[in-house]
Amino acid sequence: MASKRRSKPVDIALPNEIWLEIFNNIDYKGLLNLTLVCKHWNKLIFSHMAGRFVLSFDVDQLMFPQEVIGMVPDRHYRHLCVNSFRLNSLNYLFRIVKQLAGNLDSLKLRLKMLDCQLLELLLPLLKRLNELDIKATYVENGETTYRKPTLPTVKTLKLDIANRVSIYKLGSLEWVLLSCIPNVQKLTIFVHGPQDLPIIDSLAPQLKVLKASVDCDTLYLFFQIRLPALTSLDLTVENLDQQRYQVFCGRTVFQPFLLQCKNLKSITLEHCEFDEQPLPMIFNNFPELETLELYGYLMLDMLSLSGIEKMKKLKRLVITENIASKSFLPSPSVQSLGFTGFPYRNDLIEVLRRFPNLKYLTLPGSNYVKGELQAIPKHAPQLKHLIVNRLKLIKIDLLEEIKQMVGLRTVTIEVTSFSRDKFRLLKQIIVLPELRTLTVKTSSNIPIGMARSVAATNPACKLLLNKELVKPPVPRLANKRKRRSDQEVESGGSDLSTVSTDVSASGSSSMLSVSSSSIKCSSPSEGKRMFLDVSK
Amino acid sequence: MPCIQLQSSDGEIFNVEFEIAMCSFTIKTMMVDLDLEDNCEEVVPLTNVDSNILRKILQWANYHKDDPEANPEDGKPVDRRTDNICEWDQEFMKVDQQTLYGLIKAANYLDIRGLMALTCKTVANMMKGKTEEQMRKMFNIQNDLTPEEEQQIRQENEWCEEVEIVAD
Repeated sequence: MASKRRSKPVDIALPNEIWLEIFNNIDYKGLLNLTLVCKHWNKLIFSHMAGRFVLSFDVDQLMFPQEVIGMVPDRHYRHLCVNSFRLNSLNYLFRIVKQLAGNLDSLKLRLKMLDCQLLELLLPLLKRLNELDIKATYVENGETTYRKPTLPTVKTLKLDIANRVSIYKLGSLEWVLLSCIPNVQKLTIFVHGPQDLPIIDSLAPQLKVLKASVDCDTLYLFFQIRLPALTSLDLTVENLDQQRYQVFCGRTVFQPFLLQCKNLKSITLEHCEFDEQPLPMIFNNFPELETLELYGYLMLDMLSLSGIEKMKKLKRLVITENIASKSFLPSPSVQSLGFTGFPYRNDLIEVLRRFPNLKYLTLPGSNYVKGELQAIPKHAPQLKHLIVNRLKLIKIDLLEEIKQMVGLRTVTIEVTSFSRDKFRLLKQIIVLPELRTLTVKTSSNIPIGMARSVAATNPACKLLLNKELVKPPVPRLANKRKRRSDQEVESGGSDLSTVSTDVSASGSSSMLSVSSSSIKCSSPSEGKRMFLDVSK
Repeated sequence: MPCIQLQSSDGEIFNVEFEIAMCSFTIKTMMVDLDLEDNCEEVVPLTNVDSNILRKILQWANYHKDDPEANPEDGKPVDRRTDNICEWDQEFMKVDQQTLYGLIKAANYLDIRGLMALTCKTVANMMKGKTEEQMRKMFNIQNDLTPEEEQQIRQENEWCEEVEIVAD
């Protein structure tokens, strides 16, 4: 074999900065492979690119967890996620986090029991932490002593504690959190009951971003909180009970709550049912708004977008399909539109006409009827990105209609069942002249050969199947060239003629961040909010 | 057309149009620092670049001289795309290993961002889908990992997940 090699090995002494620049082009799985090449690369990647990995494991499943960390030398992790559901693992957990603490930017804890004393010991060790994310079944309120601020760097806190003893006053957890991380500006919190409110209340004056899932029984109390600095509100009402809670979303409680958030740029509401039209109030009071998303809108038959023209900065709108389409003026600023249900064909036409600069359109396919998308090429020829989600069965008509949209750059289809004969029809979509990414998410088992043959139909367009990039088969080269490249694979490809084949074969070898992040937020478990955040 | 003279490490002198030479931030800075902007007689020595590489680079720079000013974001391949290489560049990159690494080092030394991105993407494309052993051969790297260390790395890599990038 050695005698066949044409070129002798080249001495490649590239400086670290160049290697790192090359590695920058490689996805995280590829990087992990590189760590196996030699010690130097392992060190290089984990001293400069550690921010791209989360070390994530379950303490309970490790035989000797105390030996876990530092097993591979020269790795300085920046993000750590630890699961522990056995109480007697807490000691291990502490030792593991302690070893990595000084380097961590983010720490995620998934615990059965959160021990406040343990937390109090841990937090001061995390000298450069930005984000703390705690999810626990319950809290052990031990004696805590800390009173002075220790971690001014933490700006983001995520908290979800299921069964805390309901004491409606500051408990040990709040004391520890508020004294150790006083500068939180972004809070993501699951409000299971009144016991979760004091922490929001204490952070309220400085809070800029709040994402809260609030149990409907606690909604009334939640709306008493005042958040003057808030720029982004994302509120989901949980455990919906229409009989009881709609009064809370009404004029007397919800309106004063929302109106005191004077600086809002983004409002997202899910399952917030109102006793009257909320939009005029929003349109009249938040002219600076850039994002407005309303999900799970059940009580009102028809929503009026009248007055939307006042929102000069509105870029993204997600709304029920039941909008009175003729009653509003055009809104040229909107670039991204999502529906929570499939609108009637004529309604869709009316709506599209009023958003002349629309680039992204999200449609739930669950109640799609033949012909409904036909209007898009004519009425929204500028549309670049189409997302059809929540489909149960793929329909030929739908594919036929997408085929007509020649201006699209990305198409995303999320469907539970994608039959193989219909999957082949994607060959007709992937050849759309402008298309660069076709994303498919399905529970059906699609043979890789079939996916590859679809991908091969248009090498200029990436095909992503369930988050994985489908590589087209390597193009057949002329016999001579092919033999050569075979040898190179054997001999490690030390000749550069492989470069040319690689470049062409990997014409689609990286993901658009748009589509990879989008799939995550649309898994069935995420409930109703299945919209792609492509335009953000 | 104003020209400047660049001298390669092996002594060859290239007459280069001013605006083509300016694609290199290193040359640009040198010209400003040495106040050479109006002086076409001066020869700028490039001690780290031989004539073969310099010729290639000038060929590339000539083709790309009308490209729009590089976006500051271009240097950060956040989306890790390596498939966006134009056909001319793909042809241009069909060179032997020696030349490729020479080009990378020179692009880095001369600080030519577009060429740096192109060469790095090309090498990244070569690495994709290769096994560790193939990569060691490709880059002439000695395997200094014991089987135990390799096993440890494999184990720990299984706990490494991708960081979710949250767009603000």
